[in-house]
Amino acid sequence: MTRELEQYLNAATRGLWGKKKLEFREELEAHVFERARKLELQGFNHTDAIQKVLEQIGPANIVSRGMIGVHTMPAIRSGLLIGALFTAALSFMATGVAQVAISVIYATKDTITTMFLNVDSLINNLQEVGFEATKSDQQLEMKFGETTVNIPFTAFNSQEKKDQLEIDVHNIFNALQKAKVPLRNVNDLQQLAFNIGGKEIVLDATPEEIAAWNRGYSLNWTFSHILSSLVPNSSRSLNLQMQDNIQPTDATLEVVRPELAGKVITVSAFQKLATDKDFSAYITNTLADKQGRFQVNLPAGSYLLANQQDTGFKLGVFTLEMAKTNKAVLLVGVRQADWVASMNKTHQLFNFKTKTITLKSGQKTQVN
Amino acid sequence: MNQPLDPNLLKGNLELILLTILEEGEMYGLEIINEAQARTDGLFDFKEGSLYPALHRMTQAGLLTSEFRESDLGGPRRKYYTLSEKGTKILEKKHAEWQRFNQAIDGLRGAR
Repeated sequence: MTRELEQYLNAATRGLWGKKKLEFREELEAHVFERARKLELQGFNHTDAIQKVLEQIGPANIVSRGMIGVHTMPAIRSGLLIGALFTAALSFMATGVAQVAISVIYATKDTITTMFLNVDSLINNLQEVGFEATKSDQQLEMKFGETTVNIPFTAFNSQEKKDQLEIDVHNIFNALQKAKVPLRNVNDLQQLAFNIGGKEIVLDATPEEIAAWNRGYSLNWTFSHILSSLVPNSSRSLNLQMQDNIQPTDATLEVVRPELAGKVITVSAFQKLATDKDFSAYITNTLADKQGRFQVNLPAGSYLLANQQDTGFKLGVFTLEMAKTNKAVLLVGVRQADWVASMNKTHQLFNFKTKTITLKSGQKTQVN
Repeated sequence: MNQPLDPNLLKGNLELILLTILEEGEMYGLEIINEAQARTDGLFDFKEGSLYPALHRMTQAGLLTSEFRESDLGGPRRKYYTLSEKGTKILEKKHAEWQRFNQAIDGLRGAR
């Protein structure tokens, strides 16, 4: 695959997650491949043929925008998350009861939660409660003391929301984290809250919405995803804070690998939802201690993958049947690329060296 | 080749067009584009940015089913789309609506 095609596929599938992303990527790649083959038969070399096809297809963001519309809008229609144009009232606990509203344009249903906020509305709300927030060309600028954070946004250009400016919640927290603005999130059954720059923000959501978020669409997951996308060394402290906020799980797997002492381990868990086609996911980082010991939580019915880039360590755990049998299939040394490819071909999962471990609910199970 | 149509006209009837093309049998994305061009002498020229979202939306709505299969050219697998039972019923309904609409337009013109 050419680098240009790789970049195009990344951009065209941006905003999609999990299986939907992988499948659409393959579908689009096949499309480009076949069109390019035709050009190659006409005398183009492979690289030029790919380039020409990509030009003919048009900008990748047009493709991704259409796909995001398909795979995210139904969530709003169903009201599963927060509803179409749900107005979230935010109260800043540090400053009393100032109530502000943020218009949520839409939120994704599958996997990691993403919210796209109306930029102008967000700026007004932030200003109302004392934040310094202004808008420049394609950027939201927020000031925290002497720190200035610039957050990119884009025009939301669909028939329904023409000319609205949208900002991805991921972008907000990514930028805040990179600027080292103190950031943590709080989650309980009564409220959803997070803390930016020392100010606590509470989402005024209904109990049903809170329950939905707590089931798997919570801010925790959004934050976890953000953290996982950062350079490990720069996000350790935040990642450790995250450990307290991960949802209660059925069991904890403790892994001891001396070669991983002091290393950051990236943990991805994919949890099957109502149907075989729907997956939720969280991705977070954890730190192995001096003995190379680290723990990962295993929600019932999850796939889980842990890896460490520097040492090449890979650990895969698949616990689809855990709720029924407390058995998990442990794959040692599985390469991530193989694992990802196997999502569409279940039989490949068992080509690797495996052993079955017994997990006890609420207890640690050690694997050496 | 014909003069291109107003894109809004294509967009507004995309579902009907895709259902009609797939009535012939299962097809993958590029095949649908080629088929649409061939059968309309280039009048229906879909862009990928509108075709794939539409196919996925219709699959989600249960009008189509889809399946990945190996390509005879090698390379990545193709995703084939097939009309579902629900899609067939919707197609019949939309065709009937389309005919009524055409008749109404003809009626208007005849009344002049």
